[in-house]
Amino acid sequence: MSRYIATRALRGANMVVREADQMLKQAIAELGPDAKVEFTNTAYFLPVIYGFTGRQVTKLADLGPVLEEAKKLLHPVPKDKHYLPYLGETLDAGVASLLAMEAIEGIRFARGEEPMPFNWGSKGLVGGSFTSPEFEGAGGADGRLNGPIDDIQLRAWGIQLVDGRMPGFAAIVGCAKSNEVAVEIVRQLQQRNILVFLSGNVNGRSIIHQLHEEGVEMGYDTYIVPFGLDTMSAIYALGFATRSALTFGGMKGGQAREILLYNKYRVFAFVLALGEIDDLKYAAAAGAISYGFPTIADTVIPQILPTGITSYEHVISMPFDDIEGENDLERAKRLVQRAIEVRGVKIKITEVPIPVPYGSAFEGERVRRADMRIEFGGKNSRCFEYLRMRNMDEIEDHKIVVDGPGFEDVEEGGSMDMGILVEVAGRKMQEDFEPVLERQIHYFINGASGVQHIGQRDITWIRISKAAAQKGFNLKHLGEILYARFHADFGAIVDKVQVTIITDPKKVAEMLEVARQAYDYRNRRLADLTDEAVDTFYSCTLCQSFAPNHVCVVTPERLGLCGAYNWLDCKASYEINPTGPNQPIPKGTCLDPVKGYFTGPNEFVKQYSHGTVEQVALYSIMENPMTACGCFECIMMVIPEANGVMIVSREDPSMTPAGMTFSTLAGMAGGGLQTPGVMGIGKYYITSKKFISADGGLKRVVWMSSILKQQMREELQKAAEREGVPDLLDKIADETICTDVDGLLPWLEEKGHPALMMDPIF
Amino acid sequence: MERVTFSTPTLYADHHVLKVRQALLALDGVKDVIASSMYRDVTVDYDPTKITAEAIQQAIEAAGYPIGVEPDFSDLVLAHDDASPWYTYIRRVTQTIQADLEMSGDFRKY
Repeated sequence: MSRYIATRALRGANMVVREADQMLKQAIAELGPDAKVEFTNTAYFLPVIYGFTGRQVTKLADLGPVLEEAKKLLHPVPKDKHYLPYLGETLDAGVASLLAMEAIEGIRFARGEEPMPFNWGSKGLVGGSFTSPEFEGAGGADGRLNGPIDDIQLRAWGIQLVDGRMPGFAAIVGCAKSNEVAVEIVRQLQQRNILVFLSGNVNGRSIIHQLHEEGVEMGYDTYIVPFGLDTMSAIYALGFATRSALTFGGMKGGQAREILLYNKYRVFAFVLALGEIDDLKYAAAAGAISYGFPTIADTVIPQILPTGITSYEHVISMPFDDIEGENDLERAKRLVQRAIEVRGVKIKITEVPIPVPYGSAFEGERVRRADMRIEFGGKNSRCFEYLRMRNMDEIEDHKIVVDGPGFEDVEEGGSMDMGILVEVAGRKMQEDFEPVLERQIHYFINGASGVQHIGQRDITWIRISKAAAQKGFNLKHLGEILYARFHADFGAIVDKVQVTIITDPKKVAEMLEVARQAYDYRNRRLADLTDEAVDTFYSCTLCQSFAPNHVCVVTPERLGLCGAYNWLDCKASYEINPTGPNQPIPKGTCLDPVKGYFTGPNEFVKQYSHGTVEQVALYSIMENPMTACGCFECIMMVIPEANGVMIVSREDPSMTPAGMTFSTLAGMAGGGLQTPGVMGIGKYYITSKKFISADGGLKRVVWMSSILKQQMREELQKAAEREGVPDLLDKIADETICTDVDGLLPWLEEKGHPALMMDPIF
Repeated sequence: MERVTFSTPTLYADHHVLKVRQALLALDGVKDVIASSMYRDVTVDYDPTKITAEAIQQAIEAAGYPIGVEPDFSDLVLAHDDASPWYTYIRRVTQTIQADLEMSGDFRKY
């Protein structure tokens, strides 16, 4: 807690309570104690006072007890020495200030001094609904500012505030560095649908003057509400927040704690203090902090960074001229961006702004070669996608860059290299989430009509149809899709999304190397983790929509059969979505370490397979093997004649020694059925130490699709050496050697395959 | 043209700035006013042939801001009621308050 801020806020609170006290005595003497006090066209009396104390102020005399309560919340101004500033005292003082400020505005209303007069020149406010109808639309020198927001407007905005279309409000107090900065700040907020409340001045000049001079239309219709020219009128912003809790949160007057918490968690508001900050502003900011609203200043002030009352920092100082940026407009943009980060305002994107239809209905759509305008990846070009986490200050939200030429100059049906670099930042983002989010790119891009996405990482393959290109779809729209969907679907962990579409071949190659290092790191970081070293496995029931009885049990040494999620990914997925498809499964007691029976997975699988599967052996294909949905990368099947197993890859269309192709086998292996001797697996499971370890492990593999040998030669070689048969890979047949058992057996005998010498698999 | 600065410790907020500026700019001979509620002072550029610094000081004081006089809070800070919740609540609490317990996990509730 800053002693400076505590001192200023406490002094401001003492001053404003005393001023309110004096004003009240004077007003009662002049107008009488029964003079009416009300904010015109609003319910809940003086809302802040009503919310905090439950007192229904209708006349001047009612304000006396309110100020007595405010006095009880005051504390002495800190001494110069030997004083330990205490946040609680400052927050108390903040609340006292709010009570006094609202009392002062009430007195001003009783005197007819509110809403504050303002010379609007040739035009008044936009939108008409003034608090006081008699001032409606008034222009010229006899005009007025808005004063408190009326109830009709509160309810009109309320639905948007509650459902998230309107993320919150910014209470701007003071005066910006220049008129153009003022306009830019307000425009940035408007773009995000954030309500803008204006008040305060610096040496007589307010941001209201600045916007008015620049011809910015203010009023309800433009989401810009000029409350008044002094800080006192900022109380209307907190009144609005209180009324939101009373109106939409079902709170009652006097439920101070509930009202404050409602605002902390539901109303995303912040204070932007422009220009010098006086004692009253400090005191009012302390009051705003009680609501969970932080203050961001564009001048040098002490900061209060630890989190607690507000979601993140309480007071942030961003001296305007020190903000990085090419010019003042850029600085204004960053100031707003920082304010949004500090309050944790979540931007909700309801529509993906691209020229083709977008929705999950298009996810399975294929773009045939004849309909194709261009492709990225596949046989003729390279394409990769890479998502990485950055620090908040390293990237800019909604920055979408196409680095290199577009596809306009490529002939129809042609191809080009492309890299999609997605950089995200968020307070709750972790490096472990990177692969989980990266995997979403596939689903996000596929949602666009006329765009097809296959594969992942550096085997991404994207096609854009002629129809989509004709409608104006271009590379930048890929960025728009990703920006919108990451915010919409992962807003809880992602605050900023920046997308770079790289098409310059040299840069594609450079970034591809960076991406490959990251892929490699992600693959390896699991290397030292064993099933024995953890006490929790994870489930994956993502595919229960079409295989309702299937449950994947993902362990450190056995990744999901789709190959997309390993144990760490499931762990991250659970953190992102605790009620999602990846739930922790406590291992429980180990019943059989060889076959991989554990009480935890058995109970979980039984429950979530709806009783279909009684138990599961994690390391065996012969006894209670794990079920499969249909997404497996490979299918394993026992070849009894060879005393071993074969593995066919999804990419291999050839016949196999089992007498069936992959697609025929898939019917047996999938659908959540437990079929001993048949199992769907992720291809990296083959290299695991726990690969059917109960049945003899890798040495049981007698036949394997050649594509697996090619893709994973290095890893398979290491696994073979670990198993004590360094030349095993050369002894395993593939579809180029034989596609039936009659051809397989002589080959195995000729090579001296170890499976032939092992114990019978049955 | 001359410039004079007055310390106004009770000028603590921007509504006072508006008031002081209005009072001073109405005076003949006052060219510019910089009133700062942060520094709690008022700087005035004026034409000494038309107005004196003393007259400006009087105008500021007449507006309600005595020069160099610090505010006195003694009457306010002593306004505590010893039976107020503030004092009853600061005793060390050694048992869970049910209301606090019920409000824990508020982020889920709201």
